[in-house]
Amino acid sequence: MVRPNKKKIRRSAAEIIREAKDVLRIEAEGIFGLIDRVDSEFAQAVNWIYESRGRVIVTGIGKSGIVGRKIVATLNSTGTKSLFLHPVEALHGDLGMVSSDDIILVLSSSGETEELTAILPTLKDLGTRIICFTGNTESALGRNSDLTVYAGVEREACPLGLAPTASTTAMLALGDAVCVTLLNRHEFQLEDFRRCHPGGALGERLRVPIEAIMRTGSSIPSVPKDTLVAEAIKEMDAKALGATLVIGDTARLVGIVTDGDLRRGLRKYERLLEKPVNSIMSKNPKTIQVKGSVADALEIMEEYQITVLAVTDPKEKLLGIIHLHDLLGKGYIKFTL
Amino acid sequence: MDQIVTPRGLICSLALVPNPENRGLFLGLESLLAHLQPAVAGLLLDPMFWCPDTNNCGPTSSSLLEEIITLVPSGLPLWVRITGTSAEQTIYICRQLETVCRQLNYQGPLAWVDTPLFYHSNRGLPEHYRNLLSDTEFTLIADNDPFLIRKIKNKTKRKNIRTAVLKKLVQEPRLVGLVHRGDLGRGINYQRAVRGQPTFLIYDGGERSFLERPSASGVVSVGANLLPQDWRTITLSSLNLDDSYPHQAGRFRHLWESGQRVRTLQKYYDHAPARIIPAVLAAWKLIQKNGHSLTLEDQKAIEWILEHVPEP
Repeated sequence: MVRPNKKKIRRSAAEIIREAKDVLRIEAEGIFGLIDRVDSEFAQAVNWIYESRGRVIVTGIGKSGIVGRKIVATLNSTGTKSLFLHPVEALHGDLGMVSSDDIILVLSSSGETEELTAILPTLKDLGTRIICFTGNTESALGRNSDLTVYAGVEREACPLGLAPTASTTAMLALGDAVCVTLLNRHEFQLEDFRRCHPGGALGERLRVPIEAIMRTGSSIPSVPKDTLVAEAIKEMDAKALGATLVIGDTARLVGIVTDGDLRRGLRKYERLLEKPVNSIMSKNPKTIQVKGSVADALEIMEEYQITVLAVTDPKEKLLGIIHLHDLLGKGYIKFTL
Repeated sequence: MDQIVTPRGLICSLALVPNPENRGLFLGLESLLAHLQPAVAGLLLDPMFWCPDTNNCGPTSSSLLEEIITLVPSGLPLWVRITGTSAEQTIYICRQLETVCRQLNYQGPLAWVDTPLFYHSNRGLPEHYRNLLSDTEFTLIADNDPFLIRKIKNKTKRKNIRTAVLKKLVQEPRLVGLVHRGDLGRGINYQRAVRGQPTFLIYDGGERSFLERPSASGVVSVGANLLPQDWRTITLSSLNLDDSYPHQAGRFRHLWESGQRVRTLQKYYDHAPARIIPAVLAAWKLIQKNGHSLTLEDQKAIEWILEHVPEP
């Protein structure tokens, strides 16, 4: 009868802004509306998950399924073992992943989703406990769950209900409420969070500038180029980096002596300790500019199979030194694995 | 009395056609109910506010209620307008209708609907409702209709139930719902006010506002008399009452087309639904003709509807 009008109608900025504000207001109210509805059922759900020896298996379909995947991700990253079960795949064998120790979290606004109600009997037979988030507590899902948590909203922002909007936002927020309350009960610490996010921690670490972590001043192992090897070894022992830098005239870096250079010197000279350090040093040592990043330093160390890098300014004046261990374990970017 | 009287979903305000020869009787209720029943979650009997000729219809009469409750399928919630021209008359109408229900031993889900600001101010409203409810065993649904009140009241008078008053009203457990016609901001304020009463539902009284920003509880629609299945489709979808087939092919197209039909049709009958909708239903032979005079604009709207909307 009526076809969608294909002609595009330009709308005023004021109209668009008003409508956008209405949508945000509706979504915000949707979450506000849940605040007074959080009750003992919710608390019990959190306790069940906390005390469970199994995993939290989240299931839902459509937009609720997408929300479910996000809840799974947040649960996992905050220390609660969780996985997503697609209800259709569940009917075709994936139910095998469910054990009686697991807690099932079912998401459905209507609570009448056929794909979900179809797997309920099997889940019950397995002896798992079922928690549902639904906007209709009197629905089939609500009635057949062990715990029913209300997740409804006052109104949707999308006309005709073409897309769930405020209801999915509310469900997502309720999922976050579960994750955070669990996190607090687990006494989950920053270190634990980093353990769960090596990718994030690595990324964070790699961006740190060299000047933030390099050793400077008296902690730099360094000797003048005419120093005897015996003195150089003392400097290496004192600074404990397995190497010392060799400084030439005008404070410029001319070489480096490492444990490997000492081994090679021992084979070459009988009275090594009495030799000047420049006779065994490696010339033109690898350096990194002070504005470089940890990622740059790691790349150089990996390429040349070395563990120490001198840090210089653009005129090759020595400013500091970094060791591989500094890159991996310095200050707030310390490895926690 | 444990049946649900405030269902979430589509409440159809019945298109009533008074019999000009016999005041108080209405034509064609049986076939109209058969047409609507598969699609609606409840029915509203609202002759006073719906009739083309308000003077001829008057408030809900005992005979009309008697006729309706013998036809309405058991279990289908029925809302009945009791609004009179004063607090006393409203209570009197309520008592009269209650008597009919008792005489017929009516056990179905039934609620009275009232637009209090039609005859009362915000001041003293909680007391008035306490009196009203002390006389009845049924529940009550309030109706906030600023558009109607604007027509009949002094401009300085309040057109809406004050939010603070609603907070007091909902303390009465048998006030179970509100039909709100008006802007979104006030609707959200009402939601905040009733948040402590999770069983209290707010329905949209304005079809257009529901189509744009659907409420969580439902809509009271007059257009559902014409397109009950389309209204049902978009109401269920808007209220997330039916997401059992999210991936079904063509679902979104079906929803979109239903929405477009409903919206387009609403533009045609919106200026005079009480004249146009019964005329269309009569043309479809669902009810009898009422013989009311139509304007040229009405006739054009009816012709368009008959041409574009398939006969049920």
